[in-house]
Amino acid sequence: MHHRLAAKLVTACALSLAFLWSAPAMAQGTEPVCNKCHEENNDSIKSTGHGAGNDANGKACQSCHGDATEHVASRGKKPVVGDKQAKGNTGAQKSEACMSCHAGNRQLGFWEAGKHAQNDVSCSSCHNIHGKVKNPIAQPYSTTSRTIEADTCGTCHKQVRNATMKPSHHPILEGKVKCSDCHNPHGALTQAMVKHESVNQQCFSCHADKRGPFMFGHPPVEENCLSCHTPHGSSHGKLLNEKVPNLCQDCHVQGRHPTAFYGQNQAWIGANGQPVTTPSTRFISRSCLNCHNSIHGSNAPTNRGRYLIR
Amino acid sequence: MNKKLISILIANLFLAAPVFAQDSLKISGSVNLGGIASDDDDAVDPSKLNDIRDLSDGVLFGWDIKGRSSAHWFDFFGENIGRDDQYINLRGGSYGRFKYRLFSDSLTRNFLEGGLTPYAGAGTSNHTATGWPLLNTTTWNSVNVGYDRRDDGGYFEFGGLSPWYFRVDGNQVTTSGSKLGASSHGMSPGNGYVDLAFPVEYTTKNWTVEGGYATKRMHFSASWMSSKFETDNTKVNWTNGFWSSGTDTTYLGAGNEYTRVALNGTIRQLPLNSTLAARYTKDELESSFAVGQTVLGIAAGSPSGTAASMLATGPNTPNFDGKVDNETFTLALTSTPTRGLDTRIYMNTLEREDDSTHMAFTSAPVTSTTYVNEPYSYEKTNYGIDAFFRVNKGNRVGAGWDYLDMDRKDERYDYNRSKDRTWWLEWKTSMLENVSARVKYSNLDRSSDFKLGNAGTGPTDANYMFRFQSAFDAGELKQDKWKFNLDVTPAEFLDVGVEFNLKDNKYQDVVLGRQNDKRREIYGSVSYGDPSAWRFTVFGDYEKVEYESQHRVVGFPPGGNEPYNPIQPDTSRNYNWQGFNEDSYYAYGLAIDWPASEKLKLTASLMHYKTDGSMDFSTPSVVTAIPGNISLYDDTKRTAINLKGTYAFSKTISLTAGYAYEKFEYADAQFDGYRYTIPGSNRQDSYLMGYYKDPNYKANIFYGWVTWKF
Repeated sequence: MHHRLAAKLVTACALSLAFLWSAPAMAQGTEPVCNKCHEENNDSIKSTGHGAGNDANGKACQSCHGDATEHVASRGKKPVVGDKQAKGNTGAQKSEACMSCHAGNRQLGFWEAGKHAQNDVSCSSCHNIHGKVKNPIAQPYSTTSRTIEADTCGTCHKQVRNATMKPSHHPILEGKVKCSDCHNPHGALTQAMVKHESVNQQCFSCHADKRGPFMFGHPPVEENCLSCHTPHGSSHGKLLNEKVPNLCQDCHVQGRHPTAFYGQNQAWIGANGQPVTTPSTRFISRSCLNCHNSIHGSNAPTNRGRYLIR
Repeated sequence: MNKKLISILIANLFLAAPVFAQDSLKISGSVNLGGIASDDDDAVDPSKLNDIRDLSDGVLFGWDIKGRSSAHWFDFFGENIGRDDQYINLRGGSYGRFKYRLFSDSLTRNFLEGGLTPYAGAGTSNHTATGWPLLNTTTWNSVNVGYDRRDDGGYFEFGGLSPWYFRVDGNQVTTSGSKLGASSHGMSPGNGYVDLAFPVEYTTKNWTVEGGYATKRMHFSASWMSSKFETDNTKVNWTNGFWSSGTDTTYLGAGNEYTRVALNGTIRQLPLNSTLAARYTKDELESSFAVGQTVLGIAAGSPSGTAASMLATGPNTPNFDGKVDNETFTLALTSTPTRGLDTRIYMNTLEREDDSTHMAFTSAPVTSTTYVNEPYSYEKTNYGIDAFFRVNKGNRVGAGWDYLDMDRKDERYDYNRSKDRTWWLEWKTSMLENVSARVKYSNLDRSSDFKLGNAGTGPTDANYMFRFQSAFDAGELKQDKWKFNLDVTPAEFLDVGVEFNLKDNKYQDVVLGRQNDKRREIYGSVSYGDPSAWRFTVFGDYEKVEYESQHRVVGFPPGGNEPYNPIQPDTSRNYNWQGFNEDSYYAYGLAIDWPASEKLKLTASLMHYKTDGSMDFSTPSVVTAIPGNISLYDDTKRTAINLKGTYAFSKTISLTAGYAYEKFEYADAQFDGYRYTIPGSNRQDSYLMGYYKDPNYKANIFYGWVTWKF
């Protein structure tokens, strides 16, 4: 299936490129006056939406950096007037320049109510307008060459960046899940700026098979996925907060087998280093899930569903 | 969908081209062609290595093309074409008029390669096997467990009538393969269990339509979303060797439909420099199916050795109609009442109404107990206030208070209502030049209505133990949390960052269950980045989490005077035990970018992490059975090295070559010494598939490509 798709895409690309190649090249526009000294910065925005709106007077440059009339007249000896990006300015001051054009953007509807605005984060904290080279990030080999969004978010959210490297993690470093798939960095009314109204609704937006409603539910699951899972990464399988059976035993303290201890002597190899003939099926491998497989809810009838075992 | 996607991509480019041409579109970009080869010969089960990414030997092909004009733009990106982790993305638009995106994103999940199973049909909805017991694994079938997932979709947003806009989003996610499942052989775990491979043949179709009005002053929008989840398999039939080789059934999630309406609104430039934001949503989730009328089993009260048969379940209604509605409302008012003071007042409400069918299974043959389901409704109300005051240019202090009322409407069996009260303080400073620091403390106090304080008739009644239990997600809690961040730029191009987190949870008056947990985390990084020379980043992380809990073993049959009273002194039959679970995590790494010459750029990355878990037990001296402390508990080590060099032969042609090395080691008490079978008496055998039996791997990955830039 993939090979057929690849062949079609290659053809599509070749045809498209050939067609586009025949289009006349863009006539080079007049360079802004700023280019005389700040060529690198001008080059970095030339092919972007910002650069598209520039003119000989550096209209686009001045809209972000302030009035450059005297700066230009004095050949750079006098500073730009009202540079919002000046060092020492607050996040809100720095963002002001961007918001003067982008405040009406759809995704910025809740900017003021969001945690980023509240915590002095400015647009330029994350957006690299002039494409300055970033410092390298240590991470395993990944098959993607795309810019990983978490590299930007991780510069502040170090705990989260660390979690993405753990043995069980959402495919964030692999480029298959972006921070902005779940969070709206431009502001949201929810905690942790998740895009949906609640944590569960956020998780169910991808994990539709866990949505239910199931005939027999598991109340903590219906309240909050995060009671058992940690979304960014975990040392334990399935992004669990704690190892099973201990996670389950922290609540299920009544009955017979949920209350028993499960230690090395219930494992495949006992504490004495010798194989155990009959290890506990409640402990080995996936532990509680060996039997209670339908932990998110079950549609099985009678006690099979009630105990989430079918 | 593939054909449709390709057609749309081609049509889009061809239709757009004349428009671009008219307005002098400048095209730039690159095309890559190369290959990848990996050596994982040491891996018995390379599924962990190949999870999420496709490292199979083959061709690497991709492109990154940009088109820009004064009016239009597009970005067309593709990578790993024809591989299991293929990604294609086309974005574009006309400034101020419209924008669009089309994408196809593939993902592969691998859970087990080279496993074994006594069943034929593993991964399908019908697992069959005959001739039980089947303890001779040489007669078993091989099995791989994993699935491929592809997400195809896009959006179109029209803003040509600004400030009005209209947007439509749509995507289809298809998932095909299998995932790991399991099932108990009988109703008791003492009867053994079997690993199964459940089929995963899902399709989820999502649509969102949104219209709105957005200016600098205000923003209003209304949207409608529909998500339909379909599955080819709602149950898996499998031969139950314990129950006379009868056909047992495990139920999988049924198809469901979700619809949601959302209204958003923001008004800015109100008095006191305020912004008022509000959101209202209402959604509905439905899933309906015919209830299973029979189950495989032995009639309650039958003598030992009775053959299993299909028993009537006796549901009160033949169909289950699941229906859950959520309604949320959120309001936030942010203000700057005076210079330097920023405030936010907010409230959130969420009401979940579960109107699913109330089921009752009363069939005596299956069990003498009537089993009923418990549709679960609840209501969350949250409000609070935050305030930040800028004392001077270099210092800002903040404080806040938050209240959360969780009303479970008496529908959860253990807790009814919980009230979380949180307050916090923060100080952020940049007083010293090139130094920025933030310290924050927060305190949470949760009170809860525990419903089981009078459970059971007395300490000889098993239900009496409910009086002493606690669920950490809802029980009474006191939490202290500290967060500290420091960022220093001691010299030009040099950045040092440190983050420290501390969290203590103390669950109040817990006799049985989790009593407390602690978290300690420290993260550090040093980066140096001379834009014209070399750059590096070094990082080091450490985390430690501890959980303490207490539990009670009651002998079967219970003896003594008060077996279910955990306050009573321990006996050899009935006693309390304590668990101390610890997880540690260490990671360090180094990354270097070095432009060795104008033509040669080298990058290197080294990363190593280690997870180290343990579980210690404390049992009274009167108990002869010893659990044995666990020292290997999700212990892992991963080392990853990646070296890459790019040599530019000319402005248009460059060669990239890379080598990556990865080593993963896993040690865990639940898997070390793994066997495929655990023989028991009377067909109480267990049959495993090999999941995580040998996840270790060591791999060499070679890759390279030629890039043509234009």
